[in-house]
Amino acid sequence: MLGVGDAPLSVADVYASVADVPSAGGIDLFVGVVRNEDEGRAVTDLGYSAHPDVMNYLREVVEKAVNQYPIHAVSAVHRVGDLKIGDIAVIVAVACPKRGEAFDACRQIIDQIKETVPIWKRQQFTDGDSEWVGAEG
Amino acid sequence: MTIVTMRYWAAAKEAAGTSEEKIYADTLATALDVVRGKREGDSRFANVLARSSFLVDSNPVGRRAADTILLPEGAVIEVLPPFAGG
Repeated sequence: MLGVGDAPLSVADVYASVADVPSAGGIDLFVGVVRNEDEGRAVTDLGYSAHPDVMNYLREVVEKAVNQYPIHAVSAVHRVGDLKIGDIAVIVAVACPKRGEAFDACRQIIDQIKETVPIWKRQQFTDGDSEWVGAEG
Repeated sequence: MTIVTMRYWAAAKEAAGTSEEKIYADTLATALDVVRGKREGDSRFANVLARSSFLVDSNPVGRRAADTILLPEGAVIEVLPPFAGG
């Protein structure tokens, strides 16, 4: 399961998408959630947006991991649109024969999503200010 | 000089004040000079541009020097501010 969209994300759905694999003994699930502060400033809500080609970049990240690790099932989904504190922004799930490779592959995928997949985040602070994360320094 | 399209995303779109503009340029370096020059003294735009990565006709420029990137007629240069997914 790969996706970028504005519908709320379900851990149960993503887990189910990788769980039915008899050869996998370790499933690693990463869930990224909107938190209430950034560098000490209180955040009220977040808006994510993505480039129209975002799926190609996401697929590339996942394919790279599949070529490096013994992945038997994998899912990566990212939400866009307006999110509130506590909403799930991203879920990565990896099923491998053993836990070590599942942890490593899952970590690589989430790290590379942050680095290479064209998704942007605008955060709104409680003081009324807002900023594009990472864009202006 | 050829006519090319600059397309701005997210923070770059906001800083540029537009999602798209047509300019004359023959390399990525001249294109960036032109759009900076149009907003002389606008440090916010310059900062975002300095932190952005670029696509030319959907292909990532990567770390190649901007003055070595030749722009074909009608090229679309996309300005992608730093990614912040997750």
